[in-house]
Amino acid sequence: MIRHARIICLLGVWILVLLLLGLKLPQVVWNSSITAALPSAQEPWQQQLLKQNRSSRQFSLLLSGPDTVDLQGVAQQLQQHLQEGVTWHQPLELMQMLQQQYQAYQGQLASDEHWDLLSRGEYEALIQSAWQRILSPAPMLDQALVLDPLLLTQQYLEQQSGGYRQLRPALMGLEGRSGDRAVLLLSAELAYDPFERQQAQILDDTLTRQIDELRRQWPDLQVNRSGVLFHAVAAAQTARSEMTLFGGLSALIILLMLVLVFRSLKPLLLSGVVMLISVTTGLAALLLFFPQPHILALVFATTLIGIAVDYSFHGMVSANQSAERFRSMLPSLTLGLLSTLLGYLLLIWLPFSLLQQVAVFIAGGLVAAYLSVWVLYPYLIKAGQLPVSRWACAVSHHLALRIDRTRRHQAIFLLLVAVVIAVGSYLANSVFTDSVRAFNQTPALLAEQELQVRQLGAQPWNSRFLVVLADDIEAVLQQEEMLKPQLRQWQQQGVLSGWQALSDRVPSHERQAALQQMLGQAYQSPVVQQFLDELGLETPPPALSNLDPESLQLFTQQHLVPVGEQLASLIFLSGVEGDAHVMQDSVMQDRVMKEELDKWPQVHWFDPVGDADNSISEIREQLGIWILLALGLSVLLLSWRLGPARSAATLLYLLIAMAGSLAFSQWFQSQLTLFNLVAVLLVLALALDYAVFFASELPLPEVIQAVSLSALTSGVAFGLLSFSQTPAIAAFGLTVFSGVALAALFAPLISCISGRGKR
Amino acid sequence: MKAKQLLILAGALSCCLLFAAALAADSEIQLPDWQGLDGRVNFTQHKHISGLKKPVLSSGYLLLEDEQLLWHTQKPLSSQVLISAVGVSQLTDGGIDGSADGTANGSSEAIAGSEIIGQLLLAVLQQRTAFLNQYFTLTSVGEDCFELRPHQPPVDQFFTQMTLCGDQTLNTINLLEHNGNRTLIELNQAAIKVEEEAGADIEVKTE
Repeated sequence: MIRHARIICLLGVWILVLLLLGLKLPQVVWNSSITAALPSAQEPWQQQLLKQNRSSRQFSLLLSGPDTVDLQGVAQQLQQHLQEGVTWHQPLELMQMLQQQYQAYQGQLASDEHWDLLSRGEYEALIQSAWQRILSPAPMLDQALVLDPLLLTQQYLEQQSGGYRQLRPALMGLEGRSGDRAVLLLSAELAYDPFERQQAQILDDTLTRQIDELRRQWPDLQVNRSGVLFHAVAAAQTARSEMTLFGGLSALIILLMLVLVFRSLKPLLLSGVVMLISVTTGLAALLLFFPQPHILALVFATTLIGIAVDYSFHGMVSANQSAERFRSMLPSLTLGLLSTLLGYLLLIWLPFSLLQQVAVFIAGGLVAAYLSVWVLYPYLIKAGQLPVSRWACAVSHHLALRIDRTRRHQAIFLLLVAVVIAVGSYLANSVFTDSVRAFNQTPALLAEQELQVRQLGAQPWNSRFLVVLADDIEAVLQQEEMLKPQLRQWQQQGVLSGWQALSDRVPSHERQAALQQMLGQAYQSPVVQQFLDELGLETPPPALSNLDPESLQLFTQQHLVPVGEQLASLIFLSGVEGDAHVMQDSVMQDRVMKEELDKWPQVHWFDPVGDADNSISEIREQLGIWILLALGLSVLLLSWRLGPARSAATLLYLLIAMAGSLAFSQWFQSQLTLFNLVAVLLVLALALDYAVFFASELPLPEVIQAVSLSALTSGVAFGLLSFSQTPAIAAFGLTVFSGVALAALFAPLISCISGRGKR
Repeated sequence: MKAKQLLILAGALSCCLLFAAALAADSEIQLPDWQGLDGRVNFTQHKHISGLKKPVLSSGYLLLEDEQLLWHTQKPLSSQVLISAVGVSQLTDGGIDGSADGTANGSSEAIAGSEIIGQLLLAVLQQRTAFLNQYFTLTSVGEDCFELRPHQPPVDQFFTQMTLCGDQTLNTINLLEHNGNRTLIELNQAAIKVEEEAGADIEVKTE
């Protein structure tokens, strides 16, 4: 009766879970960017900037070919076919728009160099410069000499560039040459997030088809791609194919194993039921708490399969003996569940969204796996119903005998030696890297294309910015203008090679007014008067209105971002080479320079990638502490059930598994990352499970069967992950694989130390 | 009847072909077989700039090489401009070194957006008809002159027309800008001929 009630409750809850999935799953937007799953910036304005930053929506196509290829025609066709959700940049139109705007405000804009000359009263140099411009055959702005005899604005306009290096604005994009090949760079912005997989995939497929068609016409045409869009699509394709491959292979190998051991498909069905309930419950828990989950959380979900199968093996093996044996197994299973849950739930307190998602998924799935084993297996498995193959029985009995023959002091000695080697290797050799770039790997072809685009200087800006925060545009522009001398100083010192600020395009009203005043004085001077007389010009009247940033929308939107009630202006930087922290080191660690930046409380250093690296580092340190805490708490929990001797042995054994897995990963991968540490948490969970069962009073052959099956299936599942092309996943898989192997190898020593009576 | 119809059809086709050939002849520039300009060419430039009562007169020489042109103004003041496919660059800190060919030295910075101007001037002086065909429509005006009207951006955004005149070599280039500015460039591979019409042009009093 009670059993039936439990089954009905379990099925009832599961139906609710399925309903929840049915509602949520069609609407969920899966995130596939590793960096998107990283901890967010500390300051609220930084978080808003990251959210509103549209730089990830930019992408470029570099067309190149011999002069026989009609690159303009190719560009036209590409732009015609890729219109939906794409806005193509037209650099020439931008420059022409700038010219039109400046045309109306001649005499109100001047370069920094001319500003300095004007402020120092060095009018001869300005006149010389104006004469050279007049005598040049290049065309001039309309009414340039009438409105601005010194041609300050004419020359100011001519110094404006898009920050391009070897390329120049042309009709469809930026054109130039690279060796003997003509090049044309097209740039565009997506209307949607490049991590919206479906749309991004459609665009990528359309582009590929177009390029293939164009290559039939122009076999020498080469198209290089650059932009987050292509990396996101590649990452999503890799994640999908790996999920299918690894998940499919895992399932196949587990199936084979079950058939070999049990010579029946029923264990497969029984494990399948537990896995289905646990995975669906884990997924429902994930979607309930995280509206925009990360696809990597699903990749790590293969870990749940390993643990869920482990529970089902313990349940199957014990229930197959008798109902009483099953009941005596339950406390160990419960202890294993509690200790594992403890370890994973600690992850929720870390400010790392991806880890929180993994924790919720696995916690939900584990509880479901436990409950389904507890409720269903006594009902579904009768004693002796699952014939275990003879060779499996023989092997487990043989191993049990060998373990029984091992003396206690031998087991302790082995544990001590192993822990010294494992912990010593880890402490001596471990090198952690906290660079976010180490988590993902771009396909080689795409990386090469990206490099070729960057080498042409199409995207000269680094991923680090200076940010000016102010209440309105005028305040922002004034702040930037005050900062300019400092930027020039840093440029001379080689800290940076260039910058682009909004105030480079449109000066503040204050500056425009100051220029008018200085010009007024200049026009009164004898030398400028003589210049005007030679040209037969009158002194121009003062300007009636100022150039407003709103007139240059296309430029202001590149720099200005509203953050709350303030405006943030991004100053793009270039030439901040080498280590991500070079500038920060130069500025922040050098006290003099830090003081110089401190003079402007409204100016902030913003390095999203560097900040992410710092956050990763902090999280890794915290996670290390959490792992040790989880280890301590688990051992304390065990000591309550197992007593001090077995707990101490368990502690040594756990250290072997954890430190040994990290040492092995270090040796194999040359460096460790945060994800190796995350894997250690799972190693702890599985190793604890094995320890609990080997320390229990359950018959050793049964324990060996269950643990061996669990270790083999987990080893397969995680060993496959270590072949992933994504470094983060590969690191995770390798650590779990080596940890499980070590755990399975040394777990029997606990039973030697336990001095178990029943065999 | 049938033969008559065929004859009329043949005649119509011939007319069409002739018309098409004429159109093609008009749309594709066939500049006269002028002697190519190379090496050092003297120039006089008259710039009629809107707002100025008198044109600005300057003179100097051009040094023409394969892919670039040095525009060295000697009067009214010394100024050097490097013109290439990259654009028009004002040479700074420059001066003529002692060499006989007057090679300029000094750093240069291309004026943003002037690439098309540089390509245009090179194309005109070196008679690169492929470039000119891409951007202009040619009309013959008089015996020795040709009017080129731009029909494609970005050239059509700077100039409304360009007139080239010359007998055996290209002698004059007349550039008319949208804003009304006009530049007359007279070329001479002989000695410098500086026209000094009294009071007609602006001269700079050097200090």
